[in-house]
Amino acid sequence: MKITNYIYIILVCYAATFLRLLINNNLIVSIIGSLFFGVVIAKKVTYWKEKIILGGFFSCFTSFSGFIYFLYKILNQGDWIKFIIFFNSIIILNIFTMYIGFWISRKIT
Amino acid sequence: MDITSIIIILFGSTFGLILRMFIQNNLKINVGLNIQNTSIVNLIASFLLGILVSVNFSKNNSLLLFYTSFLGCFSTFSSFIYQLFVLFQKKKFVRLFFHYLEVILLSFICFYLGYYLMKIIK
Repeated sequence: MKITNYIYIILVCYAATFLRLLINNNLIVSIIGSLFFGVVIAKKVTYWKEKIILGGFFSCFTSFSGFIYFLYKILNQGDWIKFIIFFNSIIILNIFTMYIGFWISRKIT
Repeated sequence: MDITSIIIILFGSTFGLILRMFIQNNLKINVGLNIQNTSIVNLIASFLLGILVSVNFSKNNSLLLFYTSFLGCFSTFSSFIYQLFVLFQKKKFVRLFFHYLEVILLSFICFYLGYYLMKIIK
């Protein structure tokens, strides 16, 4: 049972990676990830389902390094104001999107 | 996408996933700050990203795949947002603000540490 679950985690990780590569836009990926992450955390799921969906899929789908690299490229342009506005808005937008996902999920169930 | 790229992606994402899960489940360190295992993972990813950027990974296909597969699966943005979301839900806004600043600042410190370390070595 445990081995099967680990195989599921790896398989959803592959799916998430290829989906991220297909979308190829960090902002869209992070927003989609936050929205559905919010939907999932509002529901009561078992330990392994949580590991597979949140730890396997969404953690591989969204990428913190992509976010840091995106900020680095803005920082490299020397525009500090743009940098501060961008990183704050991305974080706020994602928290808000996760809240929307959480709220929708709670309303449905 | 050719077969070599697919193999690199599969290998990189598997290794990134396993390493992240291992660190998230087993690492127990207390550095005095409010840093959780997820943040540790993201800080390590930032350090490795700094190394990759200093070797100009965007011009090398294999390194580009390493960045998208290994670092993409190793680091996690959604868990970072989730940490902030939990603090937001608990209405701990001051803690949220400081945790957020702490992670971003430390990530950039780790990033530049990796970046300049690689520049020195080169």
